[in-house]
Amino acid sequence: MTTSTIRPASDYPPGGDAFRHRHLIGIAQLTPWEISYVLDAAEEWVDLNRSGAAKHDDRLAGLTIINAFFENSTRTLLSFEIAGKRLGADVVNMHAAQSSVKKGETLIDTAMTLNAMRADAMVIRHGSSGAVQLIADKVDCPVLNAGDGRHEHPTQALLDALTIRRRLGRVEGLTIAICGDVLHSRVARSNILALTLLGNEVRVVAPPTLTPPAMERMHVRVFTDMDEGIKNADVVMMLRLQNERMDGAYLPSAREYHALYGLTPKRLEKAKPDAIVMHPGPMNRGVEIDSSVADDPVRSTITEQVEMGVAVRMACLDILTRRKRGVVGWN
Amino acid sequence: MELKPLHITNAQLIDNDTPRPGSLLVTGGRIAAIDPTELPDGTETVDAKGQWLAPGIIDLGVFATDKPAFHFGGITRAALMPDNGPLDGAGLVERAAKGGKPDLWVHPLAAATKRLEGKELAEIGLMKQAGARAIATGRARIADSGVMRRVLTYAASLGLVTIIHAEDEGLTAGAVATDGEMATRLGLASAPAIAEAIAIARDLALVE
Repeated sequence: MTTSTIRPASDYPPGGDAFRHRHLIGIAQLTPWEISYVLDAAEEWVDLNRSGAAKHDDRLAGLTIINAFFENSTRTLLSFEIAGKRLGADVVNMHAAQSSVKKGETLIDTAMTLNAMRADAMVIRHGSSGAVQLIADKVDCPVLNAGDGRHEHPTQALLDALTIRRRLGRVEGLTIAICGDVLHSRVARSNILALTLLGNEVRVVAPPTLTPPAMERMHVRVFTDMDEGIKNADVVMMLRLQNERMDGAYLPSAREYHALYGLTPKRLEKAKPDAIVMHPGPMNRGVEIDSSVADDPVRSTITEQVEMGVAVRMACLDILTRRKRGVVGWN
Repeated sequence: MELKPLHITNAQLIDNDTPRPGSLLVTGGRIAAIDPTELPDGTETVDAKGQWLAPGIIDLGVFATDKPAFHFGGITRAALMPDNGPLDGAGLVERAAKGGKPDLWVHPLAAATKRLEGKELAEIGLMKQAGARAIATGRARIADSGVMRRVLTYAASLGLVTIIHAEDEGLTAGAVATDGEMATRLGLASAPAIAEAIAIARDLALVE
């Protein structure tokens, strides 16, 4: 495993100019250097997380972080919770299932309630595109988008970029194929934005029923043939296919999807010999990806992505709370 | 009640294209003159203090008789869509027609089908007698072409206009935006613009 050089802080504008955002709503608002600033910051946390027993840094001690998840999540919620706790923050989780959302409270009322509890940062996931921005506009603390509808999932794109950079030594000038249900995927949208912004050739490989309209306007090449689409790719990024898409509405069957778009060892031969395989999880083994590919320790980065997720989220929480903590140069 | 002649002065008149300073005389509830030179006896004068004076706006597609909204929007006359209720019976139409009085004219549009379900003809003739000026399909179109054909011919025989919701329900299911780069970037469920053209094409073919 190669590790890339971390750029020194002197490569970036001083203080808060290195990352000029109050919230992290999407990759769409970021510049290329802001992305690499976060990635470089995350590298530090990778080292800490691997350092053995005492994986603690108390720079967020005394701050309250609310993870408000209006849509079910296991790994993203856990990842944000661990990230907050490793930085010493007091982390509380709000699940929609237990909340007053079920009692008919409006989203803005819920946001105002959370705001009144004086959170120092909020991490929000919601099933509707734009909901996180709506909340960010109403509250007084930094808001991190943990996924809104089919719009954006910025920390996923950042952790994917970090994983690629660590595995291949760079995340620019690469050919990256994003394959599967792009239509319904916030992971795909954030990754398309981040990876094109960093200067990669991004391809979208999907059945026509799962390709969003005007896709080429996002500077990607669109393929409906999987073998063509992953040809000579450096990175094959698979997306999860939701079960409810397979019942005939968008696709005839899971079996047919696997035959045409499933990542099999044979199909992977079309990509570059050292191409890596990514998946944001949770996987449908035998549908979009074969177990032998998913579990290949050389090609598959799936567990590494999860590891990078914690580091990237620590970096985001640290950077976005600097103003509140009065870090010099961040005001 | 006898209406006094009313002279509105110092207004910005909106007539053809540009606002222009002027005054206006109303007698017997109707516009009698613009920039009148002589005024009848007992004329009441109102100084508009340079504010705009425009014809009342007619809104042909409202979903509720919301008097404050009409007042602020300058709407004096409206056609009320049948969705609220829905307006599928003569009594409901008659009551809706009175809903704006005395300040506004509200013209109810009768539901084309019972409960606006797009399956059975509503009592269109009786609703016409109760004051309906046209029939409408509400916020959705009638998906069944056979039903739509019967609605159109029946309404035509009564001399009523049919107001359609021009949207193919299959193409627009779940959509909140029109297909395109912006919808894709914002992650919004979208529908192609032809959803409208298809619905209009079908109904035009049916009336031919």
